[in-house]
Amino acid sequence: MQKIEVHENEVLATLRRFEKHGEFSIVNKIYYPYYFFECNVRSKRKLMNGKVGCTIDGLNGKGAIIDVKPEIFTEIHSIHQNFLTTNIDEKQAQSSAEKFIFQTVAEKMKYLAIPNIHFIDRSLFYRPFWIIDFKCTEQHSYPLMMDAISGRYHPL
Amino acid sequence: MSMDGVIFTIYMLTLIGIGLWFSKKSSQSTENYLLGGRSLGPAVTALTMQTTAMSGYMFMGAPALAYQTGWYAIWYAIGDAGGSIINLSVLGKRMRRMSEKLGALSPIEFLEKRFENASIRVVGAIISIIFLFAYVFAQFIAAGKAMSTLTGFPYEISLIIGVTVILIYIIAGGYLAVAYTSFLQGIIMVVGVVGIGVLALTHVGGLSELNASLANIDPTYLSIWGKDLLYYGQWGVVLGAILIFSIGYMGLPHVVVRHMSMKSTKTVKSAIMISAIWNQFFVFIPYILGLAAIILLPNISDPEMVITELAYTLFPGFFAALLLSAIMSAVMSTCDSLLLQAGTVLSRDVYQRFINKNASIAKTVLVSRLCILGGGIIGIIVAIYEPPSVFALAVFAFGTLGNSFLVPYVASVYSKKATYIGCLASMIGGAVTNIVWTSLHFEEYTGLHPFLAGLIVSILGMIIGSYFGRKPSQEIMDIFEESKGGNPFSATFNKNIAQDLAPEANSISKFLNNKKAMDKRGSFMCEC
Repeated sequence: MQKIEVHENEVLATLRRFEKHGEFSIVNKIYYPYYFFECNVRSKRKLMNGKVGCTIDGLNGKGAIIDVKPEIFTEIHSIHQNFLTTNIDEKQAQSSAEKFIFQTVAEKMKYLAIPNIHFIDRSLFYRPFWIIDFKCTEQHSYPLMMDAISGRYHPL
Repeated sequence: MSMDGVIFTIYMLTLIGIGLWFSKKSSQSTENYLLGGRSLGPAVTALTMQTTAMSGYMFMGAPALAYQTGWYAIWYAIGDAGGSIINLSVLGKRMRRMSEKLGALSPIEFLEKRFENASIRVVGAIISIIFLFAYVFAQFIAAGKAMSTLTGFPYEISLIIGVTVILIYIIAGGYLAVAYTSFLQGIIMVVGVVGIGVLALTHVGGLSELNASLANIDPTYLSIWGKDLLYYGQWGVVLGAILIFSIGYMGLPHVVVRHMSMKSTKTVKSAIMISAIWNQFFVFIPYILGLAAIILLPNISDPEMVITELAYTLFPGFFAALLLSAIMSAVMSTCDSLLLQAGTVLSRDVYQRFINKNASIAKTVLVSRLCILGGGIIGIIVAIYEPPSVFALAVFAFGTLGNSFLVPYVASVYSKKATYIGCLASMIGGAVTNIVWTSLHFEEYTGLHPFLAGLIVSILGMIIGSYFGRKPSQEIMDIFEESKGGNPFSATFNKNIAQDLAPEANSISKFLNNKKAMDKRGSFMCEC
């Protein structure tokens, strides 16, 4: 489980900076599962020799290259109701990670050098997200979420 | 090899050198290499995008058309000037939102998931592969002609050298994938082409003098109906000429894919806007040069060499060779994106999807490579034995791709009624019409441009076909509604939404809805 970096007051302040009208209130906090993989990537032309970190969304398998290893704050042994459960297992996630890293490398290297990908580390971690309610009028409200580490947001 | 050939070789080696230097620097951190380009500002990003978009058509096809038909050619430029903005406004946001919700990675996969039928992927893949290659062949011919000027060798030998250089370029692609090389090329091209434009116009005494001189040679050069009033009263041809580049971009898989990967950062948005605004100025220059060449180069044997000849006439030899090298390089850059796109379509949308679902990475790459190799060999044969003009081939390939995919893409985000039968009818009808219209020269008898004819049939195919076939599922209907957008937030708030969090937002929405439903059920059970 990752540590919350953006706290309640910062969440509301950030949102209010971009949206002057209406009222924001935090209604919940949930934890989203990601698989983290670290691997050594080697290619024939030595252009791609080094470590690459990648996360795979535990629900839909979407990949992302990351430059900093996620810092795990608390080890958890059982998940409670605010934790989303994964849809894919570690094996599927590793396969997605391999395809994703290859695709990313291939896009840069134009397919003609197949990189050798060797996994050296893996873990499942949970990232906190704030669930926020935006009340635009007395009758209408609109839900959104904010990444509790980066402070980036998206409507729900 | 001529002196120009040497300059070209040095130019290419310099580009590779710059690429190597930056790559070596960034390979100290692999993530930096993979995530490279994130920190570039909108102006550099815009120029990089512009360099990739410039193809053989722009440098050879467009001026040749103006040289042959006069001011009529400007209809194509007018369409092109607005093309990127129309493309972005019509498809941009909706398509990005929908592809995120559908989890589609390629434009053809997008159509398959939206219309919920695998046959769309097969038909779409076949059409894209064939016509992406036809578009590549136009670049091959352009490359052959440019190499012929640079090396002084005959066209056939130059073509083989040109295609070989393109293949080397693809192999070295990893090194050249550094944004700074595209930026450098962009600068040379911009300075060069604008420079030729200014010098050519100065030589002919400005735009008014250019028109006066054209009128002296043949007044019909000034007509909107073309030289000798070739298309007199044929609004169907004029409309087709405007539409092909104004809306046709929405049907090109390698262009539409940008909407799917577009991140809502201010940089990307600004870069697209800068690029679109820049297009308003740049897009007309090749056509104006074609017109100026009627006066400056009245005896040119191949009108497609207008820019090349003007470069040598107006600039010192060294700069002309440098400019031509940059043009050749831009053609190669376009070529390799098209080839890679075609290879990806075959390997992912056909091979991995239908033939070998568990294909290893090595096998997928092999299929991609074979596709590129096969296309390259056919391309060389076509370009040597039956070389059409760059203009004719580029317009044919562009038009057929546009006629096949434009209506399905627009309908996928704007029509709830559109079904997979409508999509198939639209794709096949549009493509077949354009092919038949072009090859049987129906334009001459009907006064209707092949693109317009294909567009009409494609629209009819979508409307009539959508009366048949399974209606879209509730899930697709929900995604359709959600993709329309519309929320109560301000523009500033919307601009700062992290679009890459859309998949997480979807999953969290589902999780919260399920939780709400379970809570409701729980309280209902308690009441009972």
